[in-house]
Amino acid sequence: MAKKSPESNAVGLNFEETELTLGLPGESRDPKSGTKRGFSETVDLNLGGSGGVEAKDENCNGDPSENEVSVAVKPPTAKAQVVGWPPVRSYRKNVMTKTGKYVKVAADGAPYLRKVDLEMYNSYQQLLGALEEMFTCFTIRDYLNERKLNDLVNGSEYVPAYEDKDGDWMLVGDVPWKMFVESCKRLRLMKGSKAIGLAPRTPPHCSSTGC
Amino acid sequence: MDPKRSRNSPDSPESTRFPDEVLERVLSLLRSHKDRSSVSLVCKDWYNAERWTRTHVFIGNCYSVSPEIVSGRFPAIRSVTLKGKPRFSDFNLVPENWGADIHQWLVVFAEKYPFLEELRLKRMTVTDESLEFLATSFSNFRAISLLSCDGFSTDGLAAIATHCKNLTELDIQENDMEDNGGGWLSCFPENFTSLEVLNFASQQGDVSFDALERLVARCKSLRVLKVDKYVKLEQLHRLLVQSPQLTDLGTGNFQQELTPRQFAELESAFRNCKNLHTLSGLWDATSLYFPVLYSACGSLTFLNLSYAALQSGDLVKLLPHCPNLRRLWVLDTVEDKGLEAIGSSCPLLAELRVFPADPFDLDINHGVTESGFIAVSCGCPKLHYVLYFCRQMTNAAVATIVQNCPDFTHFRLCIMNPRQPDYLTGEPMDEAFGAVVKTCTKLQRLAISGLLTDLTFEYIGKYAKNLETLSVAFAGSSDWGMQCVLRGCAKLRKLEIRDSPFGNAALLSGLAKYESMRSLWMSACNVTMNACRILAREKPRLNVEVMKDDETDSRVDKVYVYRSVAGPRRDAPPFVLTL
Repeated sequence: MAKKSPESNAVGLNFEETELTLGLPGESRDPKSGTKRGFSETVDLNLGGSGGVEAKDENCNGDPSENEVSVAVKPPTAKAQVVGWPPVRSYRKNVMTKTGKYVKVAADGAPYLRKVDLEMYNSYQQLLGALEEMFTCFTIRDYLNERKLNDLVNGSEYVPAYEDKDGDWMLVGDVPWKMFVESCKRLRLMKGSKAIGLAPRTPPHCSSTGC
Repeated sequence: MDPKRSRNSPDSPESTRFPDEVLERVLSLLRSHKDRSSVSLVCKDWYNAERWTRTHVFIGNCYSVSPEIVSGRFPAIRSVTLKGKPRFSDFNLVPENWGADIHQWLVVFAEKYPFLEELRLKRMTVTDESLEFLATSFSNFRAISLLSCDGFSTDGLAAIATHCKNLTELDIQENDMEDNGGGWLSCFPENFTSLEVLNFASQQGDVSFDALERLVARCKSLRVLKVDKYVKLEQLHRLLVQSPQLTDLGTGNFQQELTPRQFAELESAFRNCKNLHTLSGLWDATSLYFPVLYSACGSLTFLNLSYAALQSGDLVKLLPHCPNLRRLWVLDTVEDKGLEAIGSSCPLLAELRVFPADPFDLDINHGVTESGFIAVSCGCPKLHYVLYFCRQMTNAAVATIVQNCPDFTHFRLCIMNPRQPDYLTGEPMDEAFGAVVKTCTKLQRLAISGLLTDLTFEYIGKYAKNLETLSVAFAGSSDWGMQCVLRGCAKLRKLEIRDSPFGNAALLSGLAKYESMRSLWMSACNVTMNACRILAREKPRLNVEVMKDDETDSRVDKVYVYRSVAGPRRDAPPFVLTL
């Protein structure tokens, strides 16, 4: 059963119970996972080799091929940043602070995350085109039996979703482009079958102050 | 200015004596400071002839000697190069106010070398007051170069621009420079035309573009121009039109909406730059505007793309236009596919540096891998300098790489996760670096990383006979490792170690060696105060400087050991204990 958040404050708003989630029916909330959403349990990407992930090994697709490319050695979790390591000059560090809006992109079946700068694009078309190019090679790996490489993002195989400022997962393309750029925190290319629980095309956008 | 000399030293045998004029004439042609040092050791005559004729002095560690000693020995210096802080200060391992302040040097030079023309500094602290003092004390001053320095602002540059009437070079690279506005460029007088080198790429703000444009227009000898990232593409066009003679260009921001006409004009301006051999800057570049560069790329030998987060496709488009590249710097956003493009387009490549775009982002796992490195080694057999940041590597890959490129002189591999083993076999990376030192007999500089036992250091000590600089981090199992290196690497000059299990026995095993080295740095190792004291006591010509965070712990956090003829330094801050 869902755990309540620690003492509601004096104002008495216990947000957790009233927030909309995007999990499948019957999903329990687990406050321990990365987001408060039940969705996360189906979405958790197994990043072979990078530290810090709760090693639940919840692999949303469940097939062993997910792990084919995973790294043999896991570095220690909970890595604190070491001073002066990697040895990148402070000058270079400061100078590479990015302009632009960078969001992480995860794709089901891809062994690692990518990052895109949403400000580089002017439309959904451009963005999806770029994502398709970026993730093509992984899809090829997955379809070794020479299945036709479907249109990655518009076809039946992959559905682009994004996490917005409120932590909700939405389908890409719902809102005007600029609004999307502003509210998108991260992207995910989901295998079509997993997108069932996603919010419908025009979600009533409830904020966390309750509906 | 002809200084008096003592002629005809009575001690030299008649038969082998040159007239001093001949000897000095010959020696004045020597440029290399290593040659000059050798010459000065031949005999007293030659020592004297050398010191009178030396016009440039290189001081690799500013605390190894004092300005008084330098000026006492070399009366005719016109050009000085000084390096200050230990290299690990680049990575915030040296606290602020550690030292290496140029000011006292300038004070002495103002008296002894009033005709000083050039000053090149690396990792020194330089204040605006010092820059002002410099600008007003040396009437012949021509060239200043500051690399990785701190302590000054654009006000200091204004002083230089205002007072140095014969300035040919203003080269401000990768410094921690306070930005008080771009007005300093307007300080060059309207009749000032001598500039040949102007590099302000590290400025973090606007400059007054009109002043820049007028300056570029009237300095017809300008060959190096590197602007900062606030200079836009259409402004770049105006600059290029005024300076087609440039050999070395650092662009500003390369991302701007251009009309077709602007695009064509920019392309034409680049086409007119027929002497361009170095290109850098390219901030925020995407392949959209690369075509304006193509006509200029044919003669490029050095391309610095390390501030442009390019993808592999961008490189694939650009590189075929740059067949003459000898040096290439990129970000790891180009990934292995980009490196493959390098391997197939740049057969003359001698130097490759791959920097990490996201070094501190722990849960992103992209960038370049061992296969990209292999691809480059296959296509670029002349590779001799590499700096490679990656997140995974294998022993087998490194062995293949050095087999393809046995001429490495500088091999700097940074596997970004500390103590990471061969990701395929799970073994330490000892064999990788073993292959490097066994195969690359000319190796001068080595930086190691990954999971490493003492075996790596055994290999280094046994095979790396030409090694001069070694960087160690999170490596080794015991004192034995460091001992192997100190014993085996006869030419070792600089050794810097962090976060490795080397202790007192290791430190003291180098007792006889440190005077032949420039310096030793050890931080977060197992060295105690006792051993440092012993070292300091046994070797009075070494400066042993210790930094301790914790009063109670007997271990030292950082120890910096260097030879010096100037004795312990007098400007050490309170957190530095000189033993």
